[in-house]
Amino acid sequence: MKKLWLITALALAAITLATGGTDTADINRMIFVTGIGIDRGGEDYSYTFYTAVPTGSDTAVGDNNVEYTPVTVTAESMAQAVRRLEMNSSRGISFEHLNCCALGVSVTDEDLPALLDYLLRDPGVRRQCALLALDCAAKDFFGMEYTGSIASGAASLLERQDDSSGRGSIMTLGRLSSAAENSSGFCLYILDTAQDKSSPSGSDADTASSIELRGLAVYSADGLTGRLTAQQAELARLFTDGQTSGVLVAADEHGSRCFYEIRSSVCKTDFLTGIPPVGRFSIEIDCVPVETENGSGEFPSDEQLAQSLYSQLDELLKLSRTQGSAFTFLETEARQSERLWYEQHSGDWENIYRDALLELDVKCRTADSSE
Amino acid sequence: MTQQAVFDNSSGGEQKVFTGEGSFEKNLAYCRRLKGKNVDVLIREYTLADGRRCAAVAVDGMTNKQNLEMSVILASRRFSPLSTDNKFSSADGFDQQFASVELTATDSLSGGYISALSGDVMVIAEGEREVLVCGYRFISSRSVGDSPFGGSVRAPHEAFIETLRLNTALIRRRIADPNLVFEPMTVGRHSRTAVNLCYILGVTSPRLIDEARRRIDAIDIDIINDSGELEQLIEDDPSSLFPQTDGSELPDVVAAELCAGRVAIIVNGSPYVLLLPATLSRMMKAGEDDYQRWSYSSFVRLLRWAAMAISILAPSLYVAMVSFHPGMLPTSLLILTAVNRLNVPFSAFAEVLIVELALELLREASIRMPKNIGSALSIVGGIIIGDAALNAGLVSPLLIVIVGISTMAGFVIPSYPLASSYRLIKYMLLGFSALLGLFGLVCGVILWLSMMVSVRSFGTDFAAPFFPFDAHDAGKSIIEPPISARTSRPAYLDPLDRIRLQTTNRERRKGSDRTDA
Amino acid sequence: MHKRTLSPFQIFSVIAMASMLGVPVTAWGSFSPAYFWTVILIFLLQSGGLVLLCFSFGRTGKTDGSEQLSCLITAIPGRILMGTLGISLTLRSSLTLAAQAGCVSLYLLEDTPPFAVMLVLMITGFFALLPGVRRLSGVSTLLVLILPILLLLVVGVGLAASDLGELRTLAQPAKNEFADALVPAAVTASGAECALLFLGHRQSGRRSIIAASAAPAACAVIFAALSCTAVGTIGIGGMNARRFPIVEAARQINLGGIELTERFDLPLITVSLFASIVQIALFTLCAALSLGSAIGCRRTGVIALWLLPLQLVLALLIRSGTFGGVILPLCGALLTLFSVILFPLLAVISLLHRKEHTVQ
Repeated sequence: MKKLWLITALALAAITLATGGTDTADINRMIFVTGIGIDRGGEDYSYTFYTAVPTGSDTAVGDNNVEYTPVTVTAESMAQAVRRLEMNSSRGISFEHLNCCALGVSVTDEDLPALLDYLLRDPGVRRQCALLALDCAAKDFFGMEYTGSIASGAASLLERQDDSSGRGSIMTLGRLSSAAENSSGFCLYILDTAQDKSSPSGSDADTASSIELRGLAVYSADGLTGRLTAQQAELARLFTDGQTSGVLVAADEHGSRCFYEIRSSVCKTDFLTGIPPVGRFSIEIDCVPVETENGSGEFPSDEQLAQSLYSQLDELLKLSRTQGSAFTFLETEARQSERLWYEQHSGDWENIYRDALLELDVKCRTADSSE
Repeated sequence: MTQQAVFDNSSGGEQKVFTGEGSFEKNLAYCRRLKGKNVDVLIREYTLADGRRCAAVAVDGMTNKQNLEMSVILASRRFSPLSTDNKFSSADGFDQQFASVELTATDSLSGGYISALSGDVMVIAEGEREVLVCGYRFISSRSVGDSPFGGSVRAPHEAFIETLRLNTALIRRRIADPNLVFEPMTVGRHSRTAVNLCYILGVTSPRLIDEARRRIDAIDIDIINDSGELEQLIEDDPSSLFPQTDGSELPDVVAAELCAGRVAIIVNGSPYVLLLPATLSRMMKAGEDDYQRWSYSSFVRLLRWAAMAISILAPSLYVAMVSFHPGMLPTSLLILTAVNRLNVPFSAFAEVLIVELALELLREASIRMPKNIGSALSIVGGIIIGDAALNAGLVSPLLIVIVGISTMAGFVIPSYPLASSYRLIKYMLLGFSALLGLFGLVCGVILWLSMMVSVRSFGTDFAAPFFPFDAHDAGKSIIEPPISARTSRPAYLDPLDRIRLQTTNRERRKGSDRTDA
Repeated sequence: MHKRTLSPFQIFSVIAMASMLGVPVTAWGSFSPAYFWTVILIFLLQSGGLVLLCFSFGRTGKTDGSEQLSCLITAIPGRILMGTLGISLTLRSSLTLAAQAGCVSLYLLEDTPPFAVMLVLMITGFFALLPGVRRLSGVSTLLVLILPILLLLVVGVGLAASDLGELRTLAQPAKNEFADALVPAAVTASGAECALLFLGHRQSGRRSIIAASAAPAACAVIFAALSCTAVGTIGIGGMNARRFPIVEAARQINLGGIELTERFDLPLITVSLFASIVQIALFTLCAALSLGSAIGCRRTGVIALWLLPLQLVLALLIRSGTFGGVILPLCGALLTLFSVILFPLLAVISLLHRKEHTVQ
């Protein structure tokens, strides 16, 4: 028996020695792609790879030790682009730290699962990579002057939005493939660059770029169905229960804008299956008046505020009919509460939903800001 | 000229005391023949009061000469069977002249001579059919002091020394129980090293005692210098990476383990007392765990288990993450690691191997070097060479931190033999990890676990009480229970009496409350 | 103290490891609410089957599985059943080998040949199984003490990060899905039938029976927790579309501000690797024991050595898609034969059998 042990151990060692080590790649000899941007360039696509290359430095390690360089490759497909990138680089390429994948304004209306098929299939790609849409070209986005990593900055911005919105989760590559498999809709945040003239001297030379949120792009199983502005995206959060932050904008009787800070909001949803289905939304908001546009300090009453919000929210509900699954939470609600009903009708959901009876009730309570 | 042995160490070499006509001359001649050219063996002839001849045999440097002169020679010279001097009664024999507490009479002349070589005094008297052996050993040795193996914060600091009898005294002082047995044995054809097998009757499993005795009796070797040699001769599987005997230099630890049901083996000339059987949980326990409050001891013990895992797995995980799975690291840490390794010309595995082997060299050098240059060399090796290697870009700073933490974690393991075996296992896992990354590491861990569960020590599984699993004992191995909860001895030692604690503190406190009221 | 009998915890550990195919995370492309509930049901049936098996061993006093069958069913059918068990375990082991090699090749070692991965898995398992069930039970015991920490981490964080609202879909299985789910569910939940080979060596007493029945139940809980985590992350559609859905779901978990690790699937893959290696070893050993009993050969080591290349070839064929469509139903049917039919049958026959003095 001891001989058998010895033979087994030797066999294991021999096999391991003979076949091991093929997957090694030291990290200091690799390039890490932290962001990918896609634009349309005629017949082909223009892929911008935002790469992080460690550099030597005598100082303490920090952002000074990393070079973030956008590399643009034109190709017919992403697989081709990656191949060209690898061939033109002296180091190995890793997508395991991909922070964001940005769709330029020229490709946001394309079939996203097909466009990103390479990233969805490759197991070496980070599944938590955030997906976002841009109001500009992806090449310009990744080429702007920015302190630190643009990809990380964009991903962090989205996470902060996600935390505060309570919408659910930001769209990632993993969720995109789930959405494609389940034929469900999703939303992508729209970002854009902004010049930030924050230098005290006001000199143009000190201008830095920043990233700002522009709205929400809405997709159904068939593709892009519409867009919400940033303000509308903010309002849409109220349809998710349990909001504890946010700003409301309402107009007073003179048309002057008044700003409120949300303390808490409750959204009760009642969904009755049938054809057409009936959805009842009851939203109650506790908020605190913050400021008025005209500086008068006079705020509308609770009823006026509720009326103002009602009209805005009702407009959103109308938008959701024409934009398919604008409010993915609604579809989720249906899917969860009446799965069989939904599965029977999911293929025809957009038509069914278009005829749905949606009832909205909004109540507001404003508290004194000193409370 | 051939140098033939003057004494046959086999069982057929024993010589009985000569009797009859000319027996004294024959006995003396035998001793002189064995003495040969040995200048340290003293043979002093003298005459008793009744004119009979007498001789004392002793070894210079191992005997208290004052006792030899006063208590043996002078005391016995006045003896005469016909005189009443120095006698309390007329029936007093020759042996009553000697005040030695350790006085034995034997008819084995060779046995008596060998005892003299161990430090006793052999007295041969004309006309006596037996020789007397008096215990007047006086061998210079160091005094009882701190254990050189490591310190403790709150624990007795005295440690065993090389003298067997002093060591037994240190244990006897802690266990004043008539059931404590120090069974004498001898090992080594030439060295005749005194070995004591100690156990507590009524507690220790008879099977364990018999097995230990059997294995020691079966040893046939020329010399035993240290308990380490004895350990290797009696362990179950010398080819195993894991130690199969435990041990300690601290009397309080040995006493505690004897009371738990273990057997201790004390070897003359060695300050390291063996404890049987060896188990992983016992080796991960420090002596002072029992003396500290249970909450702190539990924390330290958990830390120790974590340190064990860190010491074995940290370098392998580093190699797996850096060479195979950089996706495991968060991006910020990845960048930090990549920048640290930017100019290192070696692969991660080679880097780890270089640093680990350098540490091994440093460790060995610090043990072997003379004490007066020890600190200087530590500075040279650790700081200057290490710093130079960093500046030269041979190794990365992050790896130094990881290997340093791994090494420190290894020092947290109280048992030196266990820590040594884990160092070897670390290299095995490093090899697997370098070839197949996390997959290889998992395979290596499976091999490690399967090796560990197959080790047995005197009939007990090394992985006890985790395998075979005993929830009660396993819990006590992970978390130190309050002393009032240490009510039973470990089941895997199979003690005859499992109860340790009869009355809990709470019950005692209840009694005092009633008295106060 | 050296005991030749297996303690309750050893029994629990070995059977739990044998049943842990749910952890390696493949659903054979058939995940559905019906599949989910069928797996749990089969695990619970296995628990009951093992209780009945313990009962039948207790009645006859036998310790060896083949002796038990010969005693209750007579020799030749007993041998046929043992041979069938051996074949079933060999096939199951090959399935595990193929699945695990696929998982490793996909997520850990992309460039290393899958053949080499399989060889290393197999030989590691072989090393772990020498010299017998006792050593394997030792490794299983230690793993059962260590792995729950990793599993709890994965499940705890996964459930916190996933959308629990999706779980309501699991509560509504469609009736027409049960037929399709039966075979893959039976394969996923199988493994405990190897207990026939070593359950006779358990320590006497109720605790052993409880331990034996608790093992499949524990696996059911783990399977349920992991499946809920995965469904909450990628939905049922996603579970079907992926080869290793639970791993893919774990990959999507983002711990947010806690920069612990980018790849949350790795603790899960680690657990699955440990479980698979032990499972392969256990099945190989049990297959060798069963086939040895069937053909009357006591040299288990030699039979196990011959089974290794056979399993390797089968695993390669499964990976290439050659016999996958045959092996899955075969495994499912054999499981049903043992856990659902044979064990209760043995219990019934042993009731009629004259109770013998149990010698342990």
